[in-house]
Amino acid sequence: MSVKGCTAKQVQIIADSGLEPRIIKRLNKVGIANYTVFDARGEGDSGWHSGQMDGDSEVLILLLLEEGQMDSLKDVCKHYLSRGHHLTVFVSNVEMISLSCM
Amino acid sequence: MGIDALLIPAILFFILGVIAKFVDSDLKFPDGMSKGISIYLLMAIGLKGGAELGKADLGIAVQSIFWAIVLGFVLPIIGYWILRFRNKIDSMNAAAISAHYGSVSAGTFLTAIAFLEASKIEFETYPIIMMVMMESPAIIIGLVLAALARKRLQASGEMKTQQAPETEWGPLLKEAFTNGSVLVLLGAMFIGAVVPPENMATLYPFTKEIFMGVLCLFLLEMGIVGAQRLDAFKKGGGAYLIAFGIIMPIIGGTIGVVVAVSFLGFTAGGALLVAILSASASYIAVPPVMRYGVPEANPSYYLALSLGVTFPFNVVIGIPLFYNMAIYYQGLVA
Repeated sequence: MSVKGCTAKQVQIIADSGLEPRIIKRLNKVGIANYTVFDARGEGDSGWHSGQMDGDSEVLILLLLEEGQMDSLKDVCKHYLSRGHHLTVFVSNVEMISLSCM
Repeated sequence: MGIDALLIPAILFFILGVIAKFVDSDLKFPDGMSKGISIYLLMAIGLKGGAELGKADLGIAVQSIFWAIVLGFVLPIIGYWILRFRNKIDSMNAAAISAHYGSVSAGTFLTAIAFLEASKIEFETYPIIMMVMMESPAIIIGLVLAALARKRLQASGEMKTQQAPETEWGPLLKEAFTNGSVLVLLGAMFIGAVVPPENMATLYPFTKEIFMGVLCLFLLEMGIVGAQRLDAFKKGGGAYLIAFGIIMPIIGGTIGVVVAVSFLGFTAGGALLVAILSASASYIAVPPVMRYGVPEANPSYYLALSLGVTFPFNVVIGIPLFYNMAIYYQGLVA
């Protein structure tokens, strides 16, 4: 049996762990309901984050979106970036294999 | 009181953690372990405080709460003024840092209790109630100072209106009063106060007998994390901040001794605990609120100051210093 894949936009958002529930809530409001969250640590514009304590932790939010959802995503990102939050967002075209493709 | 003041397992484990970092040891705690240990320590101290509260003199308890709130509001304003002196530190970073110094470090407070118990010094337990009350006012003051600074910067044109984040007071105030550490402390205190002592006794192996061992583990990790944080100052602008991280706890500790002895009538042991509450800087409750409420501030500064400078200073020097200061001041006012 051959497995059919489909294309999607892979979005990775690196943010302060305190922003996680707020970003997810805002994404849900614009119809983006599926996501995966990873704990993250590292160093960037806002210094080094060890991941050991709540105020010192980052998360990586992984989303797979359709092209038509990108404007909604940009609005959500703009909301936080315009308020000075250190949000880094990577977007790439990927091929995925999942039940939703079949 | 000399070097023997440091010969307490908890303090020695802290120093071991610092050494581990400086010799580049691969010693590392599993992810999330310090969060778990923090919850355990807050729960254990909350239960102890609650059990004592059940037997407390209501008048002294109310006075303690009053002075805790006063200290929580006044200390960050003093800190902000020192940081802004001659524009040494920008107003947004000054607001975020000063909020940390008005709040408390439960780890330092528990180390002070370990010091008193090891030295067999009597102390009042009202400072445990004060610890709960001091978590939130400083957060509010920090947010107010940041909001005022933002308005000032907008008026002077240094910050464009579209760049200026609006302070979301509702969610931030909710976080100030319901953040994890406040909730666990208040909840454990309530449970400790209402549960009859004979029912509490079944918990003692968990909350009393292993307590000091868990505190040693916590301080071992704090030693590693604190020493790692010092690297933040290598990137410049550190001398004034490091000086602040030492001067501010001395000012706060001195105010704490005066309040405890002159206004609350505490013994030297109780005065040490109030001094440590006033001298310590938060690294659990305040950083998440400041990261969201004051995103313009650099988290490296307040985390490095709290964990890399003030925490070690208080653990190694502050605790014996404030205890001796309390004895001296008691003699002075007697």
